[in-house]
Amino acid sequence: MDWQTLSALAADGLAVGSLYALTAFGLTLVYGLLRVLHVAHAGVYAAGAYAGWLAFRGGGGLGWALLAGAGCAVALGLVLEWWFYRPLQGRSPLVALIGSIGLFVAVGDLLRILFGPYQHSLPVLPPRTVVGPVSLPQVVVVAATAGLFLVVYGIATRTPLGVGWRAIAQDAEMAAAVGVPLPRYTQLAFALASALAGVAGVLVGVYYNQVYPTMGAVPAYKALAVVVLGGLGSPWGTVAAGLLLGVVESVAVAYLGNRFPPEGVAFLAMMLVLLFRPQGLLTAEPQG
Amino acid sequence: MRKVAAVLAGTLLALAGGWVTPGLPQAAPVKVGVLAPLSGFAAADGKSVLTGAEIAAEEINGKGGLLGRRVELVVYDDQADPKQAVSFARRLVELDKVSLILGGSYSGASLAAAPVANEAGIPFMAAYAVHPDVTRGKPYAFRMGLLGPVQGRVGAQLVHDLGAKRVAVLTIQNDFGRSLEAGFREHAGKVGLEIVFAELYPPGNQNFTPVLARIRASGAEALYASGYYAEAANLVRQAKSLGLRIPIIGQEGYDSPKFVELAGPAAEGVLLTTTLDRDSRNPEVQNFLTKYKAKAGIPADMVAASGYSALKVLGMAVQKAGRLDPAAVAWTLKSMANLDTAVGHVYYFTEDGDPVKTVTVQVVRKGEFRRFRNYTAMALVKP
Repeated sequence: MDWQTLSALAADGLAVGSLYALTAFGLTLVYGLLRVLHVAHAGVYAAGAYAGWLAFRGGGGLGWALLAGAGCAVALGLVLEWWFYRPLQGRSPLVALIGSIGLFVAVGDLLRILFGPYQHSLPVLPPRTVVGPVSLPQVVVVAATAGLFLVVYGIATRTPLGVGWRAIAQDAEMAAAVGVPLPRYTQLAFALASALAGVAGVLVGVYYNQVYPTMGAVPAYKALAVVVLGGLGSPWGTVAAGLLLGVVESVAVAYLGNRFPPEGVAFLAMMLVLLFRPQGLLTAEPQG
Repeated sequence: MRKVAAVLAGTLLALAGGWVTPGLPQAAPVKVGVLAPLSGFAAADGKSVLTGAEIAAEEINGKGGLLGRRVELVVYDDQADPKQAVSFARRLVELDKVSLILGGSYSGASLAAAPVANEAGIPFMAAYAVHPDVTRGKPYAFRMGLLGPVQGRVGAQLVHDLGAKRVAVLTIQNDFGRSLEAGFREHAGKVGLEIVFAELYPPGNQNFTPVLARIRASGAEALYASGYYAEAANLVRQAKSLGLRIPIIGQEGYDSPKFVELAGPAAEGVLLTTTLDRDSRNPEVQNFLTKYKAKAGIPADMVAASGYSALKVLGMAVQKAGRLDPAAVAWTLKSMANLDTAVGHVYYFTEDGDPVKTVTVQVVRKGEFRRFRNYTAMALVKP
C-alpha cells in the first residue's frame, strides 16, 4: 500500500468515523442516564440535517447550517424528553424502545411529507482537495468533531453538570438523594445529545451533498452497533468505537470490496462483541 | 304522437351531432397500462417517465386518438419492485383489461412484468429497462431503450477512442449494472483494453472513497462506473475530492438533472452513454424537449424521452396495423424501419423486439448535457 492510498483511507476512515462518533455519542449519553435506547435519536439527526438545509436555502453557509441543525435538534430532543420519555420513566424499557422506533419512523415520514422524497443538495463545501488525497469536507468534519468533543470533555470533567451526569449514570436514586437535580440534568443531557446529532446530520448532509427523509435509517442501527462496541453507557468508549469502525470499514471496503457488504462490518463487530466481550471493547468491566 | 316524434327527432339530432362533431372520439378509449416507480428510491425516474408518457398521450389524442379512440393511461406505482410489478401487471391485464402496457420501470421490475403481459397476449413495451431478458423469448414484449450489453460495448469503444488503455470498472450490484458490465467486458477485449481493477458495490452506497483510492493506485486511465443518479453523484464528487483526474464514463443512470444537482461542480466533464441527444437537430427531439420543460418545469432526461417515444412508437404500430390485435401489432412493429424518435434514430427492431439504434455519448458542460459524439456502427449497436 503506497502512502497515497494509506492517507486516503486514513482520511476517509477518520472522517466517516467522526460522523459515527458524533451520532452515537448522544445515544450513549441518553442510555447512561435513562437506561433507554433512544432510537428516535436518528430522527433528530435527520431533522437537524433538514434544518441545516433550510438555513442554506435561506442563504446561509456552513456555520448557519450547523447552528440551525443543532438548534432544531435540541428543540426536538427536548420535546421528546419531556413529552415522551419522562412520562414513561419507571415503565419497562421495552415500552420506551418500541415507542422510540415508532417516533423515528414518524419523523422520517413527516420529513418526506414536508420536503418530498427526493434528495436535496447542501453544497456549502466544494469537493476540493486540501493536501494530497485529503479533501476539504474531510478536514472540516474531523476538525468540527474534534472541537465539539473538546467542549464536551470540558463540560464532562470541569463542570458540576458533568459530575452530576456521571453520578446519575452510576446510581440515579443516590444521585437524587445527594441533591443532583435529576430532571434538569436529564434535560440538559438530551439537549447536548440532540445538538451533537443535529450537527452530525448537517455534516453528513454536507459531506455527501444529499439530504433525504430516510437518511436516518442507516445511522439508526449503526449508532447502536457503535454504542455496543464502545460499551453501553461509556461515552468516550463510544467515540473511540466510532472512529475505529470508520477506519475498519474503510480498509475492509477497499480490500475486501463486496465479498462482504460494508454495512455488515458494523453488525458483525457488534455480534462478536456481544458474544465475547459484552461490556464493550473499551470498558473495564460489565456495566449495570 | 307529437311527443314521440319530438323524442325521436331529438334523439336523431343528438346522434347526428355526435357523429358530425369533430375531434372527440365517442367510442370506448384505448386503455394503456403504465407501470412506473412513482414512490421509493426510483421515484424521480417514475415521475419523468410518466410525464413523458402523458405528453405522448396528449399528442396522440390531439391528433384524433388511436384508431379514432382516445388513449387513456392506467397508471400503477410499482416502486421498481419486482413483486409489486407482477401484481400490478396482473391487475392491468385481468381487471383493467388494458390493450397495451408501457413498462416504465427498472430492469428488475420489467423482468417480472413482461412475462405476465406476454402470456396474456398484451403488447408490452419497456421504455428504458436494459436487461436483455426483458424481451428475449417473448413475442409481445418490446423495448424502446438501449440494451445493457449494447451500452457496455459503446462504453468500451469510447474508452478506447479516448486513448486510454487501462480501465477500472465499478459495477452496481443489480440487473442493470451486470448487463452493462457484460457488454463492456466483451468489447474491451476486442479493442485491447486492460481492466486493471473491477469491483461491485451495493445500490444505495454512499461512500466510494475507499474503492476510489484503490482505483487511483491501480493506475487506471479511465473509470467505467455504473449506477443511478444518487450513487453516480457521490462517486464523481468523491473522485474529485480525492484528486482523481481520469475520465469517468457513466451510462443512462447518470442521465438526470438530479445527477447534475447532487454532483455539483464534480459533474463537469463526466461522460455518459445514453439515448437522449440534447444537441440533436431532429425536430422530434427538440419538440419534445420544449414540451417537457414547459410541462415539468425542469429539463427532460432520458427516462422521460423514453417513455414519450415508447408510447408514440407503440401508437404508430397500432395505427399502421389498423387494429389492436397483438400479433398484428407485433408484426407491424418489427416491420417498421428508420424511425426518428426522441431517443434516437431507430434503424429497425430485431426479432426479439429490441431496437437497433444510435447511441449518443453526452458530456456535462456547465451543468448541462451536451453531445460528445454519437455511435452508429452496426457491430456496436446491434443487440
